[in-house]
Amino acid sequence: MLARLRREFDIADLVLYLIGLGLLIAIVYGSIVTLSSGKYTTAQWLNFIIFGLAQGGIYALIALGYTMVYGILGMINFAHGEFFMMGSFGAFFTTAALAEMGFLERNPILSILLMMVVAMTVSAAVAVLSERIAYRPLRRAPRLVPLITAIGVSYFLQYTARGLFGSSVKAFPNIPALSGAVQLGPIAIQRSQIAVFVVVALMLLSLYFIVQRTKVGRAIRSVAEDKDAAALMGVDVDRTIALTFLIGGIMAGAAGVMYGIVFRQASFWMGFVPGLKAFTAAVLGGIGNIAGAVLGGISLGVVESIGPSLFLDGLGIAAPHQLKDAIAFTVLVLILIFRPTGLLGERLSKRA
Amino acid sequence: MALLEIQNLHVYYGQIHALKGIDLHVDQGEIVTLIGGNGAGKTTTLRAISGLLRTPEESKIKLQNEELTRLRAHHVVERGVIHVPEGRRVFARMSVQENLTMGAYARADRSGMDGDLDFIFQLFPRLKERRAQLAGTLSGGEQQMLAMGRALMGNPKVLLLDEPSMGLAPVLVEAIFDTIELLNKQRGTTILLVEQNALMALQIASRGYVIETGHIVLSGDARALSTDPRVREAYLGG
Ligand SMILES: Nc1ncnc2c1ncn2[C@@H]1O[C@H](COP(=O)(O)OP(=O)(O)O)[C@@H](O)[C@H]1O
Ligand SMILES: [Mg+2]
Repeated sequence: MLARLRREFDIADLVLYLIGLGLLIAIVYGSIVTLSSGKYTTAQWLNFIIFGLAQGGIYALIALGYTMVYGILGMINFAHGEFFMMGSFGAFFTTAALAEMGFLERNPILSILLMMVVAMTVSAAVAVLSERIAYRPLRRAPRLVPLITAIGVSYFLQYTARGLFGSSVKAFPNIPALSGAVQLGPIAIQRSQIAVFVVVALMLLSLYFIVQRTKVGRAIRSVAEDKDAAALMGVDVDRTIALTFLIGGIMAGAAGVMYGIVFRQASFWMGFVPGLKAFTAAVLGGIGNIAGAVLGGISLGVVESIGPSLFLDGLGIAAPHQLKDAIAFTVLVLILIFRPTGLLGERLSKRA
Repeated sequence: MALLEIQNLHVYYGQIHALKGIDLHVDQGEIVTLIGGNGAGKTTTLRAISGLLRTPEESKIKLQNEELTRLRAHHVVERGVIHVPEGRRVFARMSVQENLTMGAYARADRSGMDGDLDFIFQLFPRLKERRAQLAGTLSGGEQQMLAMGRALMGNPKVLLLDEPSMGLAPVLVEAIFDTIELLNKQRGTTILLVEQNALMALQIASRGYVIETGHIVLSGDARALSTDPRVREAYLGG
């Protein structure tokens, strides 16, 4: 009986490995064909990479919220993409108002800072309230309960946004200071992408500093490791968990602004796909691991950006850029098959 | 006057009535030991004192006559009751130094902290050698030293120690008990020591309590307890 069970598991593993191997072979084959055909120039590849880095930086900011909440509560907060969406609306209404007043043109830097402050405040407030109202009462419930609640929170926030702001896509006003490109040798970098790089780098450095070097950061790490032991040091565990949501919310709010700057739109459903991608990035890096979320986000952004041309063109697939989401989720599947702990992670299987 | 006083302490885990009315007290400067077999309720007692467990209305826990009952754990720490938990529970993914810093989390006086750090490194030179190392890579004995050092960083009025000798080689057990005695003698630290190793605990304590299935069944002078036939039979191998 036991032997048979064991054999079935082996067969399941084998099938998964064969699927994974098949995908890998297709990817390698597609890449070789594309590269030898010389269809894209070096400058084009570099542009794909730069776009991917900007997109990946946004994923990284969102992924941090997933990974920090997982690290501290062992819970996947499926509503996190909606924190991002709420922040993006905050940014939208701020720029719209500033554009109307003409302030956006006169004072672009201050305007962007104002967008950031509003978006981060909105996302952080939504995150902290969600924790307080929906998750904290379930702290001692079985693991599945907060997970399902998170899906409920996600829908609640989506439909709240729809009710408040309508179901149409809101177009961000043009920010003259951020339109156009800067020529760097053979490649043109969009100004908006430069803004994303600067903001993402600053946010990540601040987060690193807070988590590694400050008392608050040590409190967060201690609670993530052992809640009772942390309480015995004098750490207020509930407050620290709320703080983790707050920081995750701030990062998501910043991501909301960056998304608005690059894609120039906001809608009530905009949190879903980026949220899922950022979750993929967090798993890719090793969920619970902060550096992993950054690495996962950036790699996913780049793979998604060069993947369609690199892997799919060579396979003769028409309109490959329509399939970039499929590439992202294929990456997720491959990671779960070959390295379930993610790139930098430990023991996902034990805790998830 | 008792520094720490516990009256009629009850703890329930759902339907399980784990502590059924414990009374004990610890005077200023004393080592008091709470001994008993596995599952008797020793850990539960310490966890209730330090605010990790809820207690019903009729239970009272007082420090210098001020109620600690129903304070949350981080507030109990602020009052100076510091608990070294069973199994040490050091932060494995933090360095030795960071663990010690965590021990001073609830503390405001920087000057006192530096002095305490020197004292801890004098007490446990091994911790000083390994201060940059991750705590998870320490041996069991070193982790116990770290857990105690971390607690001392909080400048305890009362130190609650839960089976500090658990899982250690006999030489190390000896060293840990020596350290506990030294802390008490040199610094006057008041200690409530929970142990299964009854003989050794009674040797360094001034008084002891024997707990069985949630009741205190015997208490008194440590020397008298260590010669009491009931204690000898149950815990000291006859
Ligand atoms: N978290 C818990 N849930 C339910 N019962 C518990 C829990 N912790 C301890 N107990 C029970 O309470 C009693 C006392 O346990 P404990 O205080 O850990 O004993 P000791 O530390 O003396 O070995 C035991 O019967 C134990 O099974
Ligand atoms: Mg115990």
